[in-house]
Order: sequence, then C-alpha cells, then structure tokens
Amino acid sequence: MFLARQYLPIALIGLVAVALTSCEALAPITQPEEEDPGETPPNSVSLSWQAPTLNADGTPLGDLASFNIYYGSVSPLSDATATVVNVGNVTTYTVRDLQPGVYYFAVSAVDQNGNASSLSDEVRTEISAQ
Amino acid sequence: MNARISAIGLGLLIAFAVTVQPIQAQSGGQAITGITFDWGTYINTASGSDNWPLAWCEDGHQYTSWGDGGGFGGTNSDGRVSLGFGRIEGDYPNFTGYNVWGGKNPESNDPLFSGKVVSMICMNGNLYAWRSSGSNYSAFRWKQIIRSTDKGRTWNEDEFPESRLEGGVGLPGLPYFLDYGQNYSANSDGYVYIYTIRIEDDNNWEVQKPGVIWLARAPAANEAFIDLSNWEWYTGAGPTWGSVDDRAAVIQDSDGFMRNSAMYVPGLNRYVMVANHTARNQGNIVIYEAPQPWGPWSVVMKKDGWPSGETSVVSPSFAFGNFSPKWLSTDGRDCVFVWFRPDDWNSVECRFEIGGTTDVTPPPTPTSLSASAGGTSTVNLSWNGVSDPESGISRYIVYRDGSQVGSPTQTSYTDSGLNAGTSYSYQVSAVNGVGLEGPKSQSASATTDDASDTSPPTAPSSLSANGTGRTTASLTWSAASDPESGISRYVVYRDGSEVGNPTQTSFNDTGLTAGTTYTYEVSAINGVGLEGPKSSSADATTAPPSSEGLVQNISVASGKVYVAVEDAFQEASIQYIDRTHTFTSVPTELEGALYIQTANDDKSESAGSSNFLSFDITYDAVVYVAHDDRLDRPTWLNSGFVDIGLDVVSSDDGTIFSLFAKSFTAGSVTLGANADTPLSRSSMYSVIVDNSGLDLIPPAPPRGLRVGN
Repeated sequence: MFLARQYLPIALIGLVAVALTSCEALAPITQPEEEDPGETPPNSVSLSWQAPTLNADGTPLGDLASFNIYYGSVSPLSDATATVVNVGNVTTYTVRDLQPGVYYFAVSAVDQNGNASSLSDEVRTEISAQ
Repeated sequence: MNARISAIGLGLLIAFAVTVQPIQAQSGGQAITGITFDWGTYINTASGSDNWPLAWCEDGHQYTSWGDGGGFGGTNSDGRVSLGFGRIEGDYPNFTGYNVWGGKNPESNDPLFSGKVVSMICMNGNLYAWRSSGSNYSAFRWKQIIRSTDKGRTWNEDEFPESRLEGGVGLPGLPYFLDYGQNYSANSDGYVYIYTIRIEDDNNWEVQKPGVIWLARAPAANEAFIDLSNWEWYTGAGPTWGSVDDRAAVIQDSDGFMRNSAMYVPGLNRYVMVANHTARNQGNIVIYEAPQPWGPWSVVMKKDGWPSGETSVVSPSFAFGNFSPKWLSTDGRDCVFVWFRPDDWNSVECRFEIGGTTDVTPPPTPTSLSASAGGTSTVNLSWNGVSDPESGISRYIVYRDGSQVGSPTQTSYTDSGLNAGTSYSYQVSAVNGVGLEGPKSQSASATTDDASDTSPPTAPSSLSANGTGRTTASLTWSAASDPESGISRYVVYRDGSEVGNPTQTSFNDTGLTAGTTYTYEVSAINGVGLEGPKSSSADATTAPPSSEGLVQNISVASGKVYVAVEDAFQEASIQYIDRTHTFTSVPTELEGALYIQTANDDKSESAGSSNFLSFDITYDAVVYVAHDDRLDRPTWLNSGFVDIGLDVVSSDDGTIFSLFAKSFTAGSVTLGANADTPLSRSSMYSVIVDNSGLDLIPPAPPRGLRVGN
C-alpha cells in the first residue's frame, strides 16, 4: 500500500487560488520582481518545474519518488550551504516565510532507491523588505 | 622505301644510309597536334629481344638495352641474356646495332647480371639506366639506377642503392627519365627529371589503373639525382616542388599507365611522352605532348591495337615505345619512333603535326552528358558527340570534379578507381583535329554504389554478466569491429533467446526470476545488417528470492540486540524488539524485504552520533531508514540519504516515518543515532534493507524550473 505524506506548509496552486482573497485582504503584496505577485503570499516564492521521464543514462524512469527543493543565498547551491526540503512527488511548491534578500532555487528528482538526480538549473529571486 | 635486314657478321647487322642530321636545340613552342607515320620506313629487326630504350651520347651514337634475347644478331635463344646493352651507329634507317654488354658476340666480357631496363639517358658521357630485377611485377616493386662510365661496357648492378625507388600500392613506381637529347645537352636548368607511375597492384604485371603520373627532379650536378633523398616532387602548378607526400599528378587517366617514356623535342621546344594504357601488349598507345615537363599534357594520339589499321605489316601489339633522341630533324617535325612488341625491334619514321593550321575555331560543346554509377568504384559516362567541319574531332576530354581524368575518342567513358559511396561531378569537352579544346559541357553527377559489406563483424569479447537484484542483471562487453560498415548494434541473448538490441556495449536485463542463473551471449550487427558470431558466454545469477543471510553482524552502540527479520517487512510485523507496535502501512515496493527490529528505547540514545548502528550486507542493496517525521533529520541522514517521498506508518498513534534511501555495495553499513536533538515525544527509526531490484542510476534532473506557476 502506498501512502502519500502530507506536506505542510505546501501551497499547491489549486489551493492558492482559494486562499487568495484572505491573503490580499490582510496584506497587499508589492513584489515587482515576481512574475505573478497576485498569487503568492508575502515573503514566499512559488516554484514550478517539469518532472523527468528518463534516467540519467537515457533509460525510462519508472520509479520517480519525489523532489528535493534546494534554496539558499549562495550560488551555486550545494548540500553544504542550501536548505533542502523534500516536497514529495509534485511539480509546484511555494517556499514560505523567507527573510528579505536574494535567494537561489534548484530542484532534484529522487527515485525509490534513493538515487537523486543532479540539480536543475538554478533560478534567482529577491524578497523585498516589507 | 623497303626495310631490309642483312646479317653481316659479329654484332653488326644493319647498315643504311644516313638521312637525318643531328639537331641543335632551338626554341619553337608550337603545340604538337598530331602525328603521322610513314610506314614505308618501317623496320623490324632483332627478333627475340625487346625493350629498346634509347639514349644519345656525346660520341654521336645511341645506346640501348634489351631483355631476354641475344640482342642484335642473336635470337631469343642464341646469345640470350636477361639484360643486355647495345650501341646503335648511324642514322635512320641506315643504322647498325652492336651488342656491347651481353647478347650474341658482345664487345665486352664484363660479368653480366639479370634485370630489365626501359629508360636510359646519356649525360657527361655516362649512361644511366633504371633497372628492375625482372620483366614482371618485380619492376613494380623497385627500380634502381645503374651507370656505365665506358659506354656500356661495364656495369655494377648494386652501385647505387640510394637510388632504389620502392613501389607499393598507391606509391610512385616504374621511374623513367625525361631524355634531354645528346648527352643531356638540351637541358638548360640543371635538373634531371624523373617521372613515376602510381602503382595500384604490385603483384600483377599489368597496366596500373587508375593512371597517375608524378614528376620528381634533382640536380644533375655531382650526380645528385642518383640519391632519392635529393629528389623534390612536383606539388602543383607554378610549378611548386616539395616532399613526396605532397606530390601532385602531372597526368591522370583512368585507363592507366605501365611502361612509359618521355623526351624533349628541341626543334619544337615541346615535350613528348609515350605510354601504354588499358592493357599490356595490346597496342594500347597514347602519346602526350606538353610545353613543360610538368605539363599541361595533351593527348596527341591515343589508339587501341596500334598500329593495326595503319599498316598491314605490323601486328597490333605495341608494348613500349620511345622516340629516338637522335633521329630528329632540326625543326623537330621529323621523328623516328622505336617500339617493341614481344619480342623484337620496330621502328618507323614519323612526323609531328603542329598547331597554326587554318582551323582556329574550337569545336562545339558536347551535350546530354549522363553519368551513372557502374558499381562501387566506377562511373559510366556518355554524351552526344559533336563535329568540327574544319579539322574534325580528335577526342574528348573528361573532367572529374574539374580535373582531367580521361581522353576517349568515342562518346562514352568509364571512370574507374573511385571511392565507394561517393558523389562525383563530370564535364566533357571536345578537342578538334588541331588540338583546340571546346567549351566544357554542363555537369552531370553520379554517386558510386556503397561498398557491399559481405563479411560479418567480429564477435564481442570480454562479456561480463552480473546479477544486480532479484530480477535484474547487468552486462558489459568489449566492442566488436567491422572495418567495412561499422557496428550498428548488438544482440543480447539470454539462454539462447534474443532479449535486447543495445547500441552501446552494456545492457540491463530485467524481469528475471530471483535466485536463478542465466547464461548470456552477445553478437554484433554491422552496418549492412550482417550478424557476427556470438561472444563467449557469461553467467549471471539473480539475488535469492529471500533476503536470508543478507544482513550480518549487527552492532549497536547502546548494547541492545537488534534483530534482522528476513522477508518480513509488511503490515502487522512487529516494529521494535522492545514494543508491540506493528507497521500499519508499508510501501508496496518494499513488502517482503528484510527489516531490522530496533529498540524504541534507543530513540534518544547517543544523540548526535554518526556511528550508532552498524551491520554488514552480503549483497549490494538499498538501505532505507524509516525516520519519525516529528524529528528533524539528523546530520548523518543528510549524507547520501535522500527522502524518497514514501512513508511507513506505525500502530503507535499513527506515527508517520519518512523513508530515506541510500544504495550500498556489499560490505559494511553504518548509521547514526536517531536524533541530533531528541524529542521526548518521538520514536526510534526502523531500517529496511532491500536487494530485490537494485538500481544505481539516478533520474535525469528536472527541467524548466521557474519562479511562478
């Protein structure tokens, strides 16, 4: 039997839309560098990515288990300097409660045998002081 | 006039009146556009001996060489020697031949040696000759210069090993001198010029196709030309000269070349070359002319079966010929051609036609050129012929990718010696009776057929097969080879049945039965689909269906005795050695695996230690740590272990344990303590060890990460 873990806090996109009204009512967002500031809570960064379908050697990937989000203020990201969060088998995730500053993000795929992929390309964003 | 031969004693056979005076060098430069022969002057003599290259010395006499006969006055058996040298006194046709060295009644009794000579010059009173060891393919293997300082009376067969030119496929062979007249006196630049022919097959005494002629030169002074290291090779128009590796052709013709000769004609200030094309001893003659030793060379006459059709007195078997350097008129127009058909001397007066006739209009452009592959190495060409009302059409010139490759007299041509699977572009032009070339035709292209590879590839070697789990095996091998068409893929056989077609030299076999030995073989498929022999076999055994014996030597820092429970990780199994809790949910993928019953009392033991629990595994395996979600991950669990997103749930309050996985090779495994910072309300981890489907290949990285949705 397979039991998916409950990941909290996770802002799955479908849920974000439901939560928007209250968020905006409490704290209007001014994050000009965000592509879509209206859907992301303050001090949070929404991420999305595409899941791999192949193994690193080109063979079909049949046992994709989950993703690890790496983030931190030092590029390139590494196990030593980054915060690593396993977010389960999803392709969107919102990192919340970040302090103002510059952040880098990357994502790694993990199979059921514990083999982790190399990191995706990094993305950079900045959290402004409120 | 009638040719007549009368034997008049010891080596002196022929005596005719002098009719042509020695010439002096002079400039002219008009192109030779044709040649005619006066068959009334034909002489056939020296039956039984052949070759007859000519050189003209300062003493006014010509010198020559023959092979396998008695020379002048002998027969094929009477006076027979392998190699002989003679002297020719007098003018044509009233000349007399004498045997100097070898043959019947020779003038010299110097020791003989065997060999053949078809090229000689006289320079500084010395005779220089290119000698081969025999009159067969051995001439393709090497030729070497021999010298006589006493007009042919004595020779030393191995005096100049530094002059030995070794042939070999694709290399220059069959060297022959460019003759610059009496005692080399018509030469003005101080070089000795030597032509060579590209050797295609040094085992076959035949015309070498495709025909390529290369030119080398070296100073005449101090006999520098005798040492090959002093040679410089024609490398291109200019002319430029360089190393043999950079040599460029001065003439190419797909019809091939064999025994050639070359001579300067001082009266015309032109160069003439005689070559044997297409087939040996069949009268296939081509005569070229050029303004310089390196060309451009133009065909003056090209015939098959020559001189059949021109005279009834000579059978069609021209084999080798040269123009006499002595029997030339002052204006260079009147000449004597000497050739052999096996085995005799043949000669006839000739006349060079030169340009400047009334036809100054080039011929029209050939049309409808078509080119089609004739196999892997030939292209067949045909076109519509043209006519020239003033002087007629003497021949056509075939260009391949811009370079002249043939000069057929008919309106078709077969270009040979090409590379397989290669596209070539052709043009054709017409040449009229006075040597004027018309415009080139439109291009036509053809691609030769791909090489048909009929030989299968080699067998792969060094096949290695290893079980990598209960249902998988991994194979690697060393590549097979196929020089013709390469390797396209491999075929993997498991117990004789095909199970895979990898293109690389490895393969992962899946879907196997646990605890089973399989026999593998691999073969290669080449580029045209031919399968080669199978490799030697290799066996692989999958992991046993049970995890029996997988975990050994468990050691715990707390001193408690943990228990490896084989084949039992499933719902309702007891989680700890010191509790009655059971698993209420386990991932399907891990059901039936081995798990280690830990002690829940150790949940806060040795906090922060990275060395708390150790054990040995007897197979490669994945170790899973089911870690209480309420606890932060301890540091050691961030080292190589990854959260695979699957959980285990316990009957103890429904506690959720996240599964962290790491692959280990057989040997020791060490795990740390349950927490860096203990929590009172938490549980000890469990350990699951699985060797039922080991996979060490990670996923490809995710793509398209972006901020936003």
